[in-house]
Amino acid sequence: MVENHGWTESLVKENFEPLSPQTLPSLLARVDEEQSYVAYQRAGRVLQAFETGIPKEGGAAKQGVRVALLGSSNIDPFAAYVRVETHRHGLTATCFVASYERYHRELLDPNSELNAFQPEIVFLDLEVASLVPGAARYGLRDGGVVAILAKLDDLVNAFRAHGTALIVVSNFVNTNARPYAIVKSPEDAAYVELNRRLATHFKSGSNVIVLDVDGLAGYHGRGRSCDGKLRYLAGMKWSESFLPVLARSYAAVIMAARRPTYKCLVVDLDNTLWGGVVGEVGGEGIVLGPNPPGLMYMDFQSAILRLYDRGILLAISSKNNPDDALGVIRGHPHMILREEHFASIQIGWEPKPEQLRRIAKDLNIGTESLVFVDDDAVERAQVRHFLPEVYTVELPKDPSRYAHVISTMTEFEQLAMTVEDLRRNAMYVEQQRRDSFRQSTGSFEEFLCGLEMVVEIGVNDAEDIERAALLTQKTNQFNLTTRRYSQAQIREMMTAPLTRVYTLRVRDVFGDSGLTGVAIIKKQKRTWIIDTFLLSCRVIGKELERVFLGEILDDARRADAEAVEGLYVPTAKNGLVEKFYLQQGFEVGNVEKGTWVFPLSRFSREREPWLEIKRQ
Amino acid sequence: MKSDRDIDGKLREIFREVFGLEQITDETSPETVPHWDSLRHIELIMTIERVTGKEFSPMVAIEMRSVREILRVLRSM
Repeated sequence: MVENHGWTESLVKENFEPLSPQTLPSLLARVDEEQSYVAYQRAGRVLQAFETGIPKEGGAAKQGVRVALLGSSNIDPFAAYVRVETHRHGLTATCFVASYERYHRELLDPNSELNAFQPEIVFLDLEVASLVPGAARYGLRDGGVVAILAKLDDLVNAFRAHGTALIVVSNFVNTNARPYAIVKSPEDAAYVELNRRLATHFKSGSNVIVLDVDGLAGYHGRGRSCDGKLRYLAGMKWSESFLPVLARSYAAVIMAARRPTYKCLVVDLDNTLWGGVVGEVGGEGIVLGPNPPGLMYMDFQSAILRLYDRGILLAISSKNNPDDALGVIRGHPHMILREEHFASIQIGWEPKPEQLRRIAKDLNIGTESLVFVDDDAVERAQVRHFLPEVYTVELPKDPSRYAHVISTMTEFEQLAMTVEDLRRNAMYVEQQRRDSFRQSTGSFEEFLCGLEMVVEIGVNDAEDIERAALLTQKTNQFNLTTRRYSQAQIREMMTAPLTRVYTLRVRDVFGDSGLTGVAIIKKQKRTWIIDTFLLSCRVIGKELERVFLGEILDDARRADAEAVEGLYVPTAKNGLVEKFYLQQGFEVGNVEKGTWVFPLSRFSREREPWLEIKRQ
Repeated sequence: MKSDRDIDGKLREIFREVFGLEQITDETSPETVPHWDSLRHIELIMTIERVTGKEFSPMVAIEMRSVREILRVLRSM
């Protein structure tokens, strides 16, 4: 049953509720004010009725996402919450809902309505009592943990046989725990064990993630998360106060799955990182220190440092005299963020949109990867106007709320944390050293030799699935076809007989850049077709594309192929590689289709003297 | 305790808000209002609770399925 209780159409027809898009702002304002069940249902109803046609602030109709919500309690009313919280991020959710025990059939039966709905994301919010026989009466017991994990495997595997959607499994909240327990019960221990094992149960690359709803309920208060009222009134598991919190977490997952990730936090300085204007009060006069109000700014800086530790790039955009501002950053005893934490620093008198463009250029990322934080509402309005693609944070007036805003923002959430994420900031520092080395060496060849690069080429390596999929999803510039693939699709291409997934890793004297290149080959008779060829922008400009392509051509020749065919699909961002195949010696193929051909009879390989190539 | 007239007026307003109904009688019930399904009933209950500041016990709330019943319960609280 696609969520529709038979009343939506008649409701629009009879028009007894003002169900027009114009009512939405006031309904959303009521949601903000009340956070109530009723307010969410009303706003959700309008969003559902007009789900394809609501323009985003006068612009084009918004993008949609197909979301399935499966729960072992009544979760039908929760769809309205998910609609509202997803709408806030500019995305329209079309929801499929299955409550109570229907999830078994929907997941197991290939002809189920869930499969017909073709969801992109499936959320499973199941209860222990529903998954293990007897648990409803006797609670979670020894053996229950294993039984639940096995049951989840059965459900996920059955669905996987016919669906590729991302599956999001909620972990389990122990609602039976005695709040005043001095000695924990065996059931308490079983819940801890269950969530601990569940957290690492699904392998990376399986396209299943575990949502820490127990942690979220802990943040909200477990006692307040399930209070019995909606359980007895409507068969719902969660309380009225917890439903909005849970929906925000679902929206964070939906957004992380759907949009390219934000990569960099750009911060203002005066009255943002510290209190006061350094140009007026001097370095000693600013508000920053271990006691309030200076503590508010230190806490804010700590929250930003935690983003840095997660691999988010930091940058400064400030209208200031550089000497004044840098003096504080380098010398103030209570600064937590120092020069080394910032990948790009723009301090001057240019307008902020210009500073943000420079930061993006500096870091070789698009402005749509930036998040902007500034206390000044006029600056924020200017950035919103000139760079609407930048996510501009609405910072509250009260600096005691700043740290909370950073720690609760969902824009930097990702479905998985890769080793590259954790190393990203170090990599940018290494890149800066490479750049200055480039400037100090004479010829390009000397520069390349001095790098002492080691390149590793992988083919169909299952360990690379996650990172390879991520690169297809977020690489825009050096990307010949810009085809986006999920982990499941990459996995499939690695195992299929007529496709090969190549990966490129590179390291040099300055550091390890990790997996930074992906190519996908489809074999068609005696032609190898390059479906995908991309390099991360961090490694552009070192002739690695020639090396990578050369290895593929060499493989094709050895596999007795006659020709290799390349394709260039122009986008707004990949003009850089328009002439790539021409530069690599390919001949024009089909001009209309944008194909290029390399006859392998002509192939001869000169090994690049300035690097070492390792094959698995 | 507000007067019966107060309660009548508030309930009329609530029905206009929740169901878009301009007129209600004692007999108004899920049988006469097609959109009064179990989900909308919860909205009705929660709206009455918010407006009147009273809280129903869940079983009472589920069973009061007509304007007559709702008025009877409200007057008895």
